[in-house]
Amino acid sequence: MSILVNKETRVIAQGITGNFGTFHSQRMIEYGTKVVAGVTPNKGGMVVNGVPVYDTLREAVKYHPADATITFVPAPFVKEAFMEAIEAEMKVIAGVIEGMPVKDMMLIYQMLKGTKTVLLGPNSPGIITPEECSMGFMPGHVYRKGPVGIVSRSGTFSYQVADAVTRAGMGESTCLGIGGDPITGVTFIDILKLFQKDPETEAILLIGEIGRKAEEEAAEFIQREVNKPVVAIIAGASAPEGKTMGHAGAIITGGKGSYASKVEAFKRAGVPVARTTQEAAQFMADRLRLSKAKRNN
Amino acid sequence: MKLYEYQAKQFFGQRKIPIPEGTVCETAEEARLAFEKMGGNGVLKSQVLVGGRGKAGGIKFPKSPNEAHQMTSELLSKPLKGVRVEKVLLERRLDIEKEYYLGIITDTDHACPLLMFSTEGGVDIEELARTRPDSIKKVLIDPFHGLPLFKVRYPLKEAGVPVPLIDPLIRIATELYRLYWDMDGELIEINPLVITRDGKPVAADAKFNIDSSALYRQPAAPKPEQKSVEARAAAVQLSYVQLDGNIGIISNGAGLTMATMDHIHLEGGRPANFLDCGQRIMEQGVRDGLRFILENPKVTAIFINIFAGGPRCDVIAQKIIEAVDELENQGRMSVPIVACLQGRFVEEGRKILSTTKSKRLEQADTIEEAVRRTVELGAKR
Repeated sequence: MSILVNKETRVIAQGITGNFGTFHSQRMIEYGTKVVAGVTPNKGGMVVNGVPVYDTLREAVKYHPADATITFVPAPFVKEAFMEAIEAEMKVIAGVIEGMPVKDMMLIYQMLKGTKTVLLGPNSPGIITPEECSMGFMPGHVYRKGPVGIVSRSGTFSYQVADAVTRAGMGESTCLGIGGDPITGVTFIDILKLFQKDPETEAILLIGEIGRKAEEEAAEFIQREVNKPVVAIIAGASAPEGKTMGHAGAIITGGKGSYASKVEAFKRAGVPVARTTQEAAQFMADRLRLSKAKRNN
Repeated sequence: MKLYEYQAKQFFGQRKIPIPEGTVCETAEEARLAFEKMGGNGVLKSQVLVGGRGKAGGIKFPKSPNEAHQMTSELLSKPLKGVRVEKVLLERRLDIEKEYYLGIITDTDHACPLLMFSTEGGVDIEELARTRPDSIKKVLIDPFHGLPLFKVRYPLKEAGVPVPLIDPLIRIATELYRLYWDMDGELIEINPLVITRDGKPVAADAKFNIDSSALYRQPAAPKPEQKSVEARAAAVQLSYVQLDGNIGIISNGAGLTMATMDHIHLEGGRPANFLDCGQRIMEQGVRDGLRFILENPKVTAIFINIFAGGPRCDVIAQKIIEAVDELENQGRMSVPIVACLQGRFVEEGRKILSTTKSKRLEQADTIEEAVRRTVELGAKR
């Protein structure tokens, strides 16, 4: 087990014919991901990385049943690509593109209501279930199959944290990014629910950032509903108010979204907040040891 | 992207949202002539993108054309809250009966636009939300269906707005929403929305922020200014934010860059900037980044912290060496640099870095070590 994707997952790559899509779909295939078809309007009939390309998602899934899609299309066309994927009832969409207009995402968010589609992103690094399936930019060599579920708002920072977890001998069940934008398809809570239910995930590492109130909501949820050990780390402790720190969603305004407020929320929920990557791995190792000891008693 | 008051009001004017008669002045002489033409009774407002303009002395009430000249020259000559004033807006003074608040923002928690109205305008809305939250009436807007008239009528009635004002205010709210929606707004705000003694609503001030990600499809939006180091960095796809410490930072990924700042802070250093090279780390990201950082005279040491997930450490190391050598040859490399590489091809990358000719470039194997060394070097100077 794992969450959302595994070795059975059949993946479509929207925008596979662009440089970006071609490069990253090749890396996904090398990792062992089943990329079954690509979609680019007016490029139907092409073959890229050994994968057949169709003009529409509907045609692609007709010949190559699939449950997940990754959208490599440029930001101005992402809304269209998401809409097509939602209408085709994809279970998972990896929205890896940065710079999608917020207005477009407001419409997509409303469209997602009442559907079973899980949209990661926009501005997500994607999702990986180690040694099974990788949809996005996650560097495969960093991950090993293991008990830690990682959910993050960042990309590169989550690779660094996962690397430390792997080096400490733990490994990961599934790692994914919910996206660095102001509005994202999934929240931390949606993913925490899945990790809580997943028997392979023994502990959860949450990588947050300043801005929004996703971490505060996650902390409340953990207190109520999660009985697996959770460790958190939050980027932006030293960031000033009123400045966007790279990710469009990482901004403190009117005192909202501050580091202190997030740490406070996690403390209330009994979740330790690590200050550095090394510390996060250390906390995680301690918690896993502790819960193992408990189970053996 | 934030628009200046005068720019926001140009859009208001196009949509027939009432604004005071006004003239944008770039020189004191222009202000004198405009004041004369207006026949007195004008107010001078510095055009800056920082809050608290009035309290900081950015608004003046001249009594004569000569005074308008003198006050404008003062406003243009000294910075307001650290920002240079390049334009002053001269407006006719309003005969104020009441001050309301009307605004629409993108509510990221609910993923939809939010309309806010209060009869207690003229003060900072965040302050009002803290002290008198009940005085702000809120309406969530379904982005698919837009803003029907009754949805504006509800909060106006609830707030006790006099009947003759209701339809004019609904018209303003409707136009404001259209402007926000059509222009990919993040925030659009009239504060205060003045009701004059003869019962007319007028947008006395205006705030309008447009989603930077949507500028490609907003040809009518003003061009972003290229003067700040932030804007010049953005033009070469680097995400840079100026801070007030002494340790320059280069990293890849927004989260990792923030985490790097935090680590420096934890060890007693003060970050001088946030700089995320993103995908450009494999190209000239480090070179361009170092140049922006070195423009800041406060910087005493630089930390390059890279985690190469997709990119390769060997290529990045080569780029770092080339960048440092180039700056050394130009005599511009004035501070020590500590680099910490992790990720793909890290051994090769570290070997390449160790071949540097520059005495200022060192490397560390762990982030802990690198952070301590950078802070130490930065403090020495």
